[in-house]
Amino acid sequence: MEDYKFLFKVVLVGNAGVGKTCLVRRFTQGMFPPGQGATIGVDFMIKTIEIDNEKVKLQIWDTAGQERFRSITQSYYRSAHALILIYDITSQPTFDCLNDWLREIDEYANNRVLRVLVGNKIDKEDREIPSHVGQDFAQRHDMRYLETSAKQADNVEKLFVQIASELMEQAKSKGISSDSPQSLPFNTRTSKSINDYCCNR
Amino acid sequence: MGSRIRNDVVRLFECFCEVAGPSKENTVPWILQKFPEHYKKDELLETVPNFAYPCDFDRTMIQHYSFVLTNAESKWIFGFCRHDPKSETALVVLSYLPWHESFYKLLNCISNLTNSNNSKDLWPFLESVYNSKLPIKGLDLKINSDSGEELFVCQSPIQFQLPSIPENRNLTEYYSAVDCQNMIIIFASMLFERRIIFTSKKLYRLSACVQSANAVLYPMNWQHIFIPVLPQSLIDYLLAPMPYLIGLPHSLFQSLQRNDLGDVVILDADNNTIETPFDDLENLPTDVVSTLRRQLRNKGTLLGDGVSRAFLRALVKLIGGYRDALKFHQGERITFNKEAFIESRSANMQPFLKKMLELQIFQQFIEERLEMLNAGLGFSDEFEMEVCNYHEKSSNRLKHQYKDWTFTMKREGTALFKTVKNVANPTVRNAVKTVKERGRDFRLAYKDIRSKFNAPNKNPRTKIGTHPNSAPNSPSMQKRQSWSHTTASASYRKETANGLQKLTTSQNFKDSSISPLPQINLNLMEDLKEVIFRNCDNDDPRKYTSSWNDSVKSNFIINDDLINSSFGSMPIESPMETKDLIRLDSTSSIDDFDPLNSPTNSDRLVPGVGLSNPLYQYFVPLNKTQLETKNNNDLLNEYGLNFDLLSCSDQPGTSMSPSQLPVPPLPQLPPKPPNFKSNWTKFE
Repeated sequence: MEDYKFLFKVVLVGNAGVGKTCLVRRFTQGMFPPGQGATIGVDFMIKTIEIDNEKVKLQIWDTAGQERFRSITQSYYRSAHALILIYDITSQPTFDCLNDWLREIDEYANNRVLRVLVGNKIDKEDREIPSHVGQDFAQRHDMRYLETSAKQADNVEKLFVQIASELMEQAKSKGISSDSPQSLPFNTRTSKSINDYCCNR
Repeated sequence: MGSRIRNDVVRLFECFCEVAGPSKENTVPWILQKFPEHYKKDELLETVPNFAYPCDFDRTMIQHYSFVLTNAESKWIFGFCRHDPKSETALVVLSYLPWHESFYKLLNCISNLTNSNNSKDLWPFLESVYNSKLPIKGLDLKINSDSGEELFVCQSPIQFQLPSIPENRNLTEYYSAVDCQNMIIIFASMLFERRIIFTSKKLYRLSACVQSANAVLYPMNWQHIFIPVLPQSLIDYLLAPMPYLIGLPHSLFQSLQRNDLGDVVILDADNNTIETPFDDLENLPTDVVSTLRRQLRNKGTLLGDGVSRAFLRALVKLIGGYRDALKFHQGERITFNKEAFIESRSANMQPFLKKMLELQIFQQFIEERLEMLNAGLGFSDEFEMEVCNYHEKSSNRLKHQYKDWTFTMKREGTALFKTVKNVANPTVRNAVKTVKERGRDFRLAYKDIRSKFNAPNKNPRTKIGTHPNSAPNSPSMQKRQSWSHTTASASYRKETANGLQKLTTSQNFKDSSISPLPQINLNLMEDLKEVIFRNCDNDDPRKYTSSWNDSVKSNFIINDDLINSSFGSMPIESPMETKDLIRLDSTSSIDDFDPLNSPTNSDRLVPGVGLSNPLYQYFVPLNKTQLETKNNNDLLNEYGLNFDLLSCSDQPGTSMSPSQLPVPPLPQLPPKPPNFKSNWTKFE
């Protein structure tokens, strides 16, 4: 195993075509593309970043064929540290689906992971979901919010770095030693501060 | 949809490959040849060599195993492998069908042809298999050589048949490698959607155990990462945060950094040991576990589908109540009510059921059933059969609630029935399908529908659909009130409605041992039972499906005309027929099926009429598009209501064509209706 202090697992959720894969590819660009999605049904990418002089390894997992799930249940993400819910800001249907995706998540909210709402494709001109609508939605559901463009790499780095630093902060506040990066109690959350977390517009 | 098996498969296999193993010159396995040569799914083919040679493994004996690839739609593609110590290559067949036994046989055929003097026959052989039509369920596909010699016989599995020991190689292997207790722990871990690793030195054991662990979840399907044999190159998938079921060859297991994995359940299939950080078994309802354990330890009944059925029955106890949680409102899609689901079982089970709602496997199961109901596709499979049995044996309350609901379904569909003949309106088809689902009561129900063609449907009593799932007492009170409003001058429609309410009320009170109702109402039920089944061997009432009972009873209570006409059209033999059907089925049950005592076991399986064949298929009929041109008879057939299959055919007078159905009453009444009539009168 390579040298890192923290390992965080991030799970991506969202309709087909919202740019999940692009987003990750943009972030991990050329770093680690196993690309087994087509034969295993799950793809993951890894990138190690440095935050406050500490190495943090991010593993980002993307399941193919999510459309078959009406909603994501807790077992799907309970071993993850963070959950990124993605929609396409030019597509109302992908935004409407958020409620479905979240239905179960909200209902069984006792085991929360860090949740981030991402409106992707801000490079496109035909926006259908105003920024504040996404922001409101995120606030209502106790999520962080960010808009990105995988195409132009806007906010992509920022998204993952912020997830990593928040998770790291959580981990540290729980007094996790570097010897067991896996054993963090990742299902608990520290108090959140939505306003600190960013929205780019 | 919940199933991960494609249901639009057209050919037996997609591709055959011969894969050269790693050697000194070439350390990476590669595809030597493939058939058909135009098979172009490169992404798929690229990974095949890796799965055919997943790691260093014992190659001193011939072994068959299967691997699974998952496509973008989350459907599985099976790779069936044959390794022969005498050969430097592995034979691989890719198919969407999970027919392990057939494909292992096919691989043996291919191997024989390759090694024999007539290796030139291999390609023509593959071609004829490739181009053959898929055999109909329960039938055989036979491939002969030019000289007429039988080369390969592929038996298509009988639909809905549960995996049996010893016919099913996977389950047989799983059962012999892993003891009951550990099978139950794995079952529990899967019900809690853990990250689960199986390990073994033998690839065939690995794939067999993983496949079987999923198979005993039926009617649910594992929805997560599923890799029966994990190649070395994909070892990082063990770090996935999502639930998984992965078969890890032992050589790879040894090199694993255990503390990287996090919380996983590990089954060592060679040593029959389990490590788990969870208390999943303890969190299953104890009575379910103890029954399951008892059934699995009862060696006498484990041949045949005893093992599968033991797990199926456990699942019936756990989730069979989903039917009581289905909600139907006129003009709307059928929905699933979580609270009602939790209340469908006793208090000690409810914590588990709450958990169950959080599971993807359960959610997909419900989605699938709802989708089928809303699309007008009924379903009848081993699970539903066992649910009926269970309800029959245990609390009547549940049964009657379900009946209540389905009856509403039928009635809601009534007014729209004309539409179904033209455009197959989903809602109506639901109703018709529900009729079908009732089992053998379709004549009554159909008549019910037909006889009400012109009845006004002013007062859709959707309430019935919403009540059955509440606690037994409160709705009973309401229903009782409405019953007390019944007057002799009630309209036809009203009478129907109240008839049902009376029925429900009496049963509810009966169940809860409170009996504030006039005794006559309770007697009625007994009388009806006696009348309806008076000609039957009534020793074992369990042999009737509950649906038969329910629908017959509820329909009989509806009104006089209907009863008369129903009796006219329904020969006395019908209940017998129902019984026969169930008896056929119960032959395969854990209680009395012993393949060892039946030397001609396989011969007994008459194609298409298997031991546990359902009453009909739920697949969309091929001729669906011709719906408009169908007459009633065709329509009924399409919905699986085949009169010809009924015993009435040997009684010419009572075998009616559907076009006659709406004409009550019939001239030829079976001998006993007068009695029935008198019972009915007694009620009034």
